[in-house]
Amino acid sequence: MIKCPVCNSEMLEGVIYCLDCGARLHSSVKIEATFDDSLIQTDRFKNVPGKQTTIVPSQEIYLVVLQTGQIFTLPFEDEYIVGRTSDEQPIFPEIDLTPFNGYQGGVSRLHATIKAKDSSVTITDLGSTNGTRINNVRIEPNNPHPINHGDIITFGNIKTRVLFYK
Amino acid sequence: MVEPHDFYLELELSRNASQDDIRRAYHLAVRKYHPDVNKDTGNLEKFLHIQNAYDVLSDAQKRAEYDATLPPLPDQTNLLKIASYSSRSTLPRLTEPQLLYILIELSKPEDITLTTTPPLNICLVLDRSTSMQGQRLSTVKNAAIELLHQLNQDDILSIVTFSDRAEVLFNGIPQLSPSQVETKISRIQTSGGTEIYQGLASGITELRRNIDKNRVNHLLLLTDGRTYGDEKPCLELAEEAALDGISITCLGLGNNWNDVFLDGLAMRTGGDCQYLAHHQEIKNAFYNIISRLTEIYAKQLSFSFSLQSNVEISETYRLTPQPGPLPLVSPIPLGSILDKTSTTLLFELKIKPLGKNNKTLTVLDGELMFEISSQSNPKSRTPLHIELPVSNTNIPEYPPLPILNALSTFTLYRLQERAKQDLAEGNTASAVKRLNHLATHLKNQGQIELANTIVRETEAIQKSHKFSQEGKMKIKYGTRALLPSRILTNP
Repeated sequence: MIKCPVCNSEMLEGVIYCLDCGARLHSSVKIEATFDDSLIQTDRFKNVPGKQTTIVPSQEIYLVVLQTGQIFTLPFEDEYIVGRTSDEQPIFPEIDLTPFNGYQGGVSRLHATIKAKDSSVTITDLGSTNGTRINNVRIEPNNPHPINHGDIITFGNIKTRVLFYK
Repeated sequence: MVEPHDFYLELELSRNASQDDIRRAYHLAVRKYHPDVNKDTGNLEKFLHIQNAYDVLSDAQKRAEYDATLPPLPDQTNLLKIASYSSRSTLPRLTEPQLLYILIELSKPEDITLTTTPPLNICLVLDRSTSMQGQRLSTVKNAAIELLHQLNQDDILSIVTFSDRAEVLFNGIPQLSPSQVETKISRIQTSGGTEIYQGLASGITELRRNIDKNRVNHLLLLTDGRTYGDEKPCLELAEEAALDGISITCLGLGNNWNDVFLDGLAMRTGGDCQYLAHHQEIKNAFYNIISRLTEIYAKQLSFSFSLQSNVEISETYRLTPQPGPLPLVSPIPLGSILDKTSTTLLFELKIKPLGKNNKTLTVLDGELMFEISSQSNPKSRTPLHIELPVSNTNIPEYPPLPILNALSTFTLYRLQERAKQDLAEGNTASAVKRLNHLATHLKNQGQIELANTIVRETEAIQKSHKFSQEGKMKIKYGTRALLPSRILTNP
């Protein structure tokens, strides 16, 4: 069985899109990542525990939420919205930062999009209130910015790390 | 032309048909050809042939002896281009069931050029019940007259109108001048209720008068209402018509027709059902249907198959050229293959736990049957066999892009079907949640208008606990219409 990370429904192995909420589910194998956390000594995120694991090379990129080590797997050839759910509006971003204290962390409901297409990865800030940073440099909104393997992307105050092997 | 002594062709079966298939085909054929049962189509000689074929094929031993005498199937693989994709290239040996997706794309081979297309034998079956009064009927009349001009000289057109009974307006162009036909069309008047069986039966009779293997035999049913009590005979009629090579397109006008019924009716013949929200869409719909009929490369396409005991089909859907659900029983009528647009089919298979002895698994095994009018022997068949290796290790795989593309929109269509099911089961909260997800996915894909329709509908559902008739239609056919787009833009 596979558990959908968005709606918690249990699905049969081999399912590609959740039949209950339509979220794209990654393969049945757990994706694990190795990275060095020496770069992430910032004032707010001192001593974030790094996770020692191995990554499976594939056509996917991984977005690691540094605080918790949770990994979002994003297959290539698609676009993903980063944001948080809202009670008032039906917004369900693919990368929902609500469980990571997205609201307190200053994540906008529609914060940014990550586009993984034609073997390049870009991020576009959607005019979020608290901005998006690549390696601590704030990017101007509504323009795609290329991101590289290992970059630290900050949404409001939530830090994530992008990993991909091509 | 039926080849002599081929019992399988006699019953329109493939050589690997199961006993169930044989029995089913036999019963259908008896209903059609038994001289005592059916006065219109009864044919003693044909009936005796069928009886003879059934006697042999229904007996396992006689069938095996007979099979041994059959010549090998002629190689007709060059008449159809088949591309198939599987969501996994290797099946992991799991102790639990798993899903597998198969996408099959059928098209005309590039080296074949279509010089002539078969002439048409079409019948318009038009609803003239009182609900059609006013603009609806006048638009239908105009559209029918315009359709007249779209036809070629050797095409045959008949028109049947129906309310609670049917009238044949005219049969075949040759006897009448175009202006006479136009006059007849312009005199159609509304009255009475909607009894689809009446119109359908009469339309099929008209088509049968001119039936010809070399023609595209098609019935176009337009209605804006519900039929009561005659659904079952209608569906049976459609199945019989399909055996004669008649396909049906259903056009549902407005919001008060039975979508499940008309979907089913069209599906049984390989046709499709379309939703026309407004009468202004009729003219375009007619035009597109006739255009497609004149682009047919292969017609009467069907897939007959048998399944291994550990494989189950949980869903089949045609994505292109006209999206629609397909029946799960063999043989599946699939419609036609057009000159330039491929026919794409999506299968969702449920694979039961695989035992140690399974080194490979045949997930689909059968034959595609089709007719190409330009061929001297139009009936053709080509095998379709998909077998996957089974592995003890579960290596992650990235599904091929065509499968992801197809599923990305098919999933949306399914969400609204599931929301309907939720509401039928009284689970409003779950339906609302699902529709919210659906609206978000649609917004992400740029389908803002459809997403907004869903948002409005969801608000209403929270109060009424059911779909509005209009919302239901718009959302169902709106998400269905997205299916071909992802396929066609990613060849």
